[in-house]
Amino acid sequence: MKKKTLSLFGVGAVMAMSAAAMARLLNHDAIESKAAGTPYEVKQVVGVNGITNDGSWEGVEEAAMTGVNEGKLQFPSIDTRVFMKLTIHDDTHRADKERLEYTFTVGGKVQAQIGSIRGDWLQPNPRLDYGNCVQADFGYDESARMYTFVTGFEMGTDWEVGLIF
Amino acid sequence: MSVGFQDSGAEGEWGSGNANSFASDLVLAGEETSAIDVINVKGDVEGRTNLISWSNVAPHMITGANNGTIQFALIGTNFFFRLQMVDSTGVIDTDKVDFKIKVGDKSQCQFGNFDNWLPANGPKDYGEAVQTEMGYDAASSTYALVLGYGLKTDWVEGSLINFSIDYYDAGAIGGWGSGPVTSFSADLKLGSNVASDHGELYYVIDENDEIPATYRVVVEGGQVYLPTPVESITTDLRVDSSKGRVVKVVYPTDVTEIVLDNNAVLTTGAGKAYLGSEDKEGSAAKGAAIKFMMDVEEARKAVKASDTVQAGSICGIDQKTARTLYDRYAALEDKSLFATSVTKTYVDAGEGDVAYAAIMEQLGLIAGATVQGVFHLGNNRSNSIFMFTTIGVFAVAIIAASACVILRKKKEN
Repeated sequence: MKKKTLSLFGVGAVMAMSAAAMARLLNHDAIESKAAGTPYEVKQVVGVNGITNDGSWEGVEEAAMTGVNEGKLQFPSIDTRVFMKLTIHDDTHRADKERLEYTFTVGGKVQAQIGSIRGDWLQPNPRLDYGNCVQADFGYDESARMYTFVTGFEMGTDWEVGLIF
Repeated sequence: MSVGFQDSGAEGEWGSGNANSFASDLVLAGEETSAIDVINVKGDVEGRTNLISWSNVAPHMITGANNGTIQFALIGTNFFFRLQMVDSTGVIDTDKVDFKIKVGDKSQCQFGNFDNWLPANGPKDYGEAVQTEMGYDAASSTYALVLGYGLKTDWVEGSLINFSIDYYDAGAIGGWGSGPVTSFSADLKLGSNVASDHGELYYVIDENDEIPATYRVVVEGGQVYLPTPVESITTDLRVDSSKGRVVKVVYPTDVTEIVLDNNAVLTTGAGKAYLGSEDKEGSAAKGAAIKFMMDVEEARKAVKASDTVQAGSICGIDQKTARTLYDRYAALEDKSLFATSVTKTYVDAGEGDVAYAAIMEQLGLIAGATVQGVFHLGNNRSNSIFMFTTIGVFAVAIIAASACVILRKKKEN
């Protein structure tokens, strides 16, 4: 499967960061300002009843995360819904303590959440302009020591071929 | 968009620990719909799907109370779906399936069980299924359901239809339709309506052996399927009295090899004939000759079935058909099999065999139209009318001549 790496810093650099630098890294504005390179292409996949299932993710381009943990992201679309799947390795499984944060910015709209990866706490950060998530799946594979997180939102009439966000 | 994940480690508080990040622009690419493409596949000779058909179709996962897959395919304008559902407590008459196919204003709505009961559950605009297969494999705890419907003129390439299906797992003791439901619903985009192509080959089987219902086959790309239903047809034709009956095998054109029980490999593609275990290569020329004889057999059977054949005729083919067949015979590259082949005497069934040389002799005579009265067929009524009319005219002429002679003699007296 084709992999695409879009890194902000090398792994070594991240490991050497101070706590303050890491906190800054996770700051939405700081990350967004660093976005560069060819946009990731969000392609249509087949889901079930408008949401993804395991088969939906087969063949979807993987983008590597940068950091100590080995992680990857996938972004497909089902009609006018955009989805994200995070798969990340973590030997120390404590779902309520790991911090998860994501932000989609579409023009002036923001779809962003922050919280844990346990599933019972993931709050708007600062808002969900496209409404509640149409899918929110959390999982941890003990044998692979791997978290998975799937979310998606309905972009509605804002969805348009060629839109960069 | 951006994503951050911070690993708190074994003891850290929320938001502490190693940071991982991603940031990139995303662009919405490609199609504007996620509709499933329904591709055209090759089926069997009746236009139904088989295992090879489905091997070329991507399965879509169904998850819920039960897990399974669903596939969609087209053969010509017939639409097919195949549901495979894992159910550890499969009870074929209580587990319920309920599906709806919506094509424009028409719908096909049925529900039922896996025990050959699928009544209408709403409109049934496409009538009865062109293919119905259902079963439960205890070894894999999996149901398989294949249904197909003729869309006919409602098939439009690129058009969207909607498909939804619900599966209710009744468990080990629940009543029909009880238990948790697993659902699937999607728009489907219809592909092309290319009809299936098929090839034929021939091989010889011992007189008392049964024709296998399935064969091992190899398809394009080298994948082996075991066992696969491929249509095979027994015949009365024997190309040599010592070699048993000829079997015709009809296969989808993506089958490259058919493997017999004795591990003999029959290579497809050129309509070859394999005449005995020693024949490893096969012969396309002999295959063409056998195909011709098969067509003669069909013509003879058709005449026999539709009308009586005059005693003494061992060919039993009308003149027009005979001429067409004889032209083909003349063009055959290898005619050696006609000297040794025998078949049944359809005129008087059970009276034994007839040599193909004799059949061809009569076929030639009929085709030449020189002795059509001798080999007259009951269904060739125009010839009969002509013959009786001729006899009648002659009779009237003789009577008239006789009358003239009598009157002249009376005058002379």
